[in-house]
Amino acid sequence: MSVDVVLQVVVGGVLLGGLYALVAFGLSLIYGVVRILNFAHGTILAVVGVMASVMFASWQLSPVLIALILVPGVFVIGALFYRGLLRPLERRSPLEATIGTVLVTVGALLILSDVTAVLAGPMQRNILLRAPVIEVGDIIISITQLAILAAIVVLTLAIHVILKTTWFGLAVRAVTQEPVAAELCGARSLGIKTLTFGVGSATVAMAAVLYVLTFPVDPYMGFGLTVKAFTIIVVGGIGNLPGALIVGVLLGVAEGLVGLFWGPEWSPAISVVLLLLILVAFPAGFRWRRA
Amino acid sequence: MMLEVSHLAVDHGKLRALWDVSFSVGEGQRVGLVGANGAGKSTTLGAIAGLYPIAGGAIVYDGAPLDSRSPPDALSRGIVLVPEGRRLFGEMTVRENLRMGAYGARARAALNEGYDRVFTLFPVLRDKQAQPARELSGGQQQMVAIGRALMARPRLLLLDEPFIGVAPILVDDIMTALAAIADGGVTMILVDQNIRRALRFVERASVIHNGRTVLAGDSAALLADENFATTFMGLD
Repeated sequence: MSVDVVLQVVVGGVLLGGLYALVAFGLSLIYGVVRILNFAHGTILAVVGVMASVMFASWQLSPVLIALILVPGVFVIGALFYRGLLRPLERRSPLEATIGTVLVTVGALLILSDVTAVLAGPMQRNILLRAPVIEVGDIIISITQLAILAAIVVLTLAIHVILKTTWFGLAVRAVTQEPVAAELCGARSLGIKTLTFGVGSATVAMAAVLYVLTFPVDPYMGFGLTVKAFTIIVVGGIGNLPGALIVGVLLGVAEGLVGLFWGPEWSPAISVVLLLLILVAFPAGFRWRRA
Repeated sequence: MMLEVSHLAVDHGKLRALWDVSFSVGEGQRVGLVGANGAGKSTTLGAIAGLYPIAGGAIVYDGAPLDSRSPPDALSRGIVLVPEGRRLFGEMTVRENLRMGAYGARARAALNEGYDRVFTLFPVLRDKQAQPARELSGGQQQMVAIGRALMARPRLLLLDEPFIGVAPILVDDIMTALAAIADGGVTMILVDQNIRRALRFVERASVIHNGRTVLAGDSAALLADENFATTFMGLD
């Protein structure tokens, strides 16, 4: 097998991994603030990806316009989902609340996947843009891929800046670290949790539009993606943006290489194998943060 | 009276933590709540700060019932709690911790004034602004916790065990700073397990025992009271 083929796979893996990291970041943002594991998180990518490809196929809308329509929509739906279905469970006992949130989010996952499959069909779809390619040596990179890479970088930086400089970002970090102290400082937890659920969901929606430009989506791919996002969070650290990006890219590249050398059917297993290996090797986790 | 607590009762889940606590605080006063571990001092402060709902009795603040459903409600009326154990945002820098203290709408407008005020009171923090709060010593962390509360521009400051985990030489520094804050017109309620130390700082104190106020008086009178000394100082 030639080096070029391997490098070509690595390029695809970096893109895939960057998108995984965005998905994981939305999930960890929500978990940090709301303390709910949203099992339907990856399914948002699947559903939005299918919707984007249908919108592109039916009305030839530009991907940017599609994102401008879908991302705010998902923000609102995410916020309403939390307020309407998850928030009421917080009044229950801790055990009932935990089981309740698993039931609600897994239920949402199943319903979203099935409804999407009924309306749009269960097949794989994507958006194929005609774009010029750049050849670097024997590696071929399309302008679309470069644009996706740029978008991943810009979105990651934007999230970083929001978390570091805005009042909302400050409150998100405060609630994640010390929820009681954050309330004592005047941060109303209901508002911040609702906004965070919206923002975390919108982050996946943005990843979805980028994803479908180069990788295929189908209504039932969501759960596997959620598992990968969990892996990235556990390995990279909750709320740790650089950690998520590093682990995401490693995972994406590992999947590509495993697919190349052992066959694509082995790719999905790599995230679980990676997680298990790291849990065995570093049972207490490892900190990336600057000392 | 600025604050009147009468026959306050508070439940923690199915257990009653406070049975009957009554005391009052005048504008500009420093009042102490003393008593043994688990007597209900922190619960009393928590109820005033909006952390716990009231199960019985009443808290009247500025002549109107204080029915805070959450700490932000209390904060918007100028009541700020420095919680036991400090509860800093450990991964955030000292400056970010202080900024978070000014999260409320009123305080945001005066953010820079707030930093100046805190760094004047605790000059040592000025050089540590960019450090994560968890890297500071216990005493310095307590300064950040008090500073964070000051950023909210409190009228009534509730201090829950501000000297635990603080090196003895820093206790005096912190007490001096608290005195300066009080002289600036901030009313204070201090909870301290070390009764002698508390009575040195406050003008009046109430003793809480098993969730009830059992004794109250001027600091000097309490210190002179032999009965008080043998019954409660012995617990220390």
